[in-house]
Amino acid sequence: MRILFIDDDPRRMGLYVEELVDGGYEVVFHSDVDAALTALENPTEKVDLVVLDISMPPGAAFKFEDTLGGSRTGLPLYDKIRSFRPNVKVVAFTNVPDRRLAEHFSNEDNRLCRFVRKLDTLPSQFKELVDDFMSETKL
Amino acid sequence: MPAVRLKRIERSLREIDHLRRECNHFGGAAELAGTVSPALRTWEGRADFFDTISSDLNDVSQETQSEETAATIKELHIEANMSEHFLNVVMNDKTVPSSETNASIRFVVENEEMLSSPLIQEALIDLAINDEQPEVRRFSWLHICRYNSRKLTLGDRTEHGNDVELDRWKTVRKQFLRKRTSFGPRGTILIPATLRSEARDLINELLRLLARPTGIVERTEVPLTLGELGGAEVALFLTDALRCEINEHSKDEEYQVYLTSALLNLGGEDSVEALLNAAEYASEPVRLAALSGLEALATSGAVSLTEYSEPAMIDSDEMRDAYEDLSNRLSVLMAQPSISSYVKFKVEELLDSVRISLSSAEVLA
Repeated sequence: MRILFIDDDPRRMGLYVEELVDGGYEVVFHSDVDAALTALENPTEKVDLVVLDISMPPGAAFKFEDTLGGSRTGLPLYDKIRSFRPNVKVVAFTNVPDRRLAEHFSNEDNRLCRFVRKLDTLPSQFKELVDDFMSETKL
Repeated sequence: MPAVRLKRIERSLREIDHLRRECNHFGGAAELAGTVSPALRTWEGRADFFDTISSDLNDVSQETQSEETAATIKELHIEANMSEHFLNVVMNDKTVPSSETNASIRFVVENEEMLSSPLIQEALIDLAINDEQPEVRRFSWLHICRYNSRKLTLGDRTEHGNDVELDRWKTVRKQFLRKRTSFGPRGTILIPATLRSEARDLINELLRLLARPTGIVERTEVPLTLGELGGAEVALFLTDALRCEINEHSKDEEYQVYLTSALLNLGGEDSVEALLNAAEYASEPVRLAALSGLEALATSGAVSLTEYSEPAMIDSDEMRDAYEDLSNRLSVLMAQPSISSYVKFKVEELLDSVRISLSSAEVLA
């Protein structure tokens, strides 16, 4: 299974990526929003799961003002992901404590989307979470 | 043994937290830098320190079945994250990669307690003014403005100020005004004013004052003087301040009007966008000030209250596009049901002026 991990913080996410790789997943890491979008737009690029940070630089794809200076880049990015890949599973993985953000993702189809807080989740726990999510019946 | 490892981690994190509280005042960053252990003074040292903690916590979590231990691990994981991001922002050593600084700023600004601490406020102001990366500067500044607009009530913003400081900045502004060859906005609808590079230190001093808009000097004379000295980046900082004031529904109309005055002087696409935003969403006095600003920029300084506006000289395709865009945005604004008849009247006047400029350009082309 192939995971596209989009986060502007490769150093801290390194342990999470390691756990996933050790768990048998193929992980492609993008710290740049524009590169991630290019990969997602490419229909030949296999993606089973997207792990999506919320707070990261907007890149050229999104305006500074529309993403609150990058604090909410993951929101319009999620919309774009859905437009290219309507059935891909997504884990929104963030430290942002905004309740409305959690509600926004909780309102999405639970078979396709989960919201997970980084602070609450150690790498080993994250890998178990991904295992459970991916083992649920596909659409 | 897991318990011993956890105790060691807990002790280290408690020391950092203790220092954070001890130094939590303006000017505390220097104290913290001098007191914290040498390993934590550089980015590489901190990265190693916190990576080790993260790895240890992850290992212990896989070795233990106890719920109590799992809860302790989770708390320590949270605390380690907070400490690392806090130190990255406050220590601000030049070796930190900009992506790391950004990630840490992003973390800190989402934490209300950290954001309101004097230590973090001071650190963000330093980053906004001194960091080498424009995106770090702007991002730090944006969050200072958001915080001010949300937290500083009208009661916190006074009419009082230091008369000496007020006179000082008025004098500075007039000195630079006298150096100009023409009156009216320094920038145009398309191109922002050029930074007065000889005034760089003064600009930094002004931005520090603007970062805390509580007194009469900071709220009035400081934006005006920035409008007279600044360039494109100062315009961006002022647009962020104005946008935050409006988006967070701040009641400080006087401050917002002075920000629009500064933006009309600076000009450029970002200023025009911010003025249009204010014309659309701000309170009536600020809307009218924003429309005045747009009129000044669109007519290169001629104000229809005192004289009949001459059409602006549109001498390039980019300029024509800018005027057409302005015309479209004003038409949309006219159609807004929430605007008062007087604002509508002023929008109509400005729209006529812009259309005359466009027609004259077609005739000349």
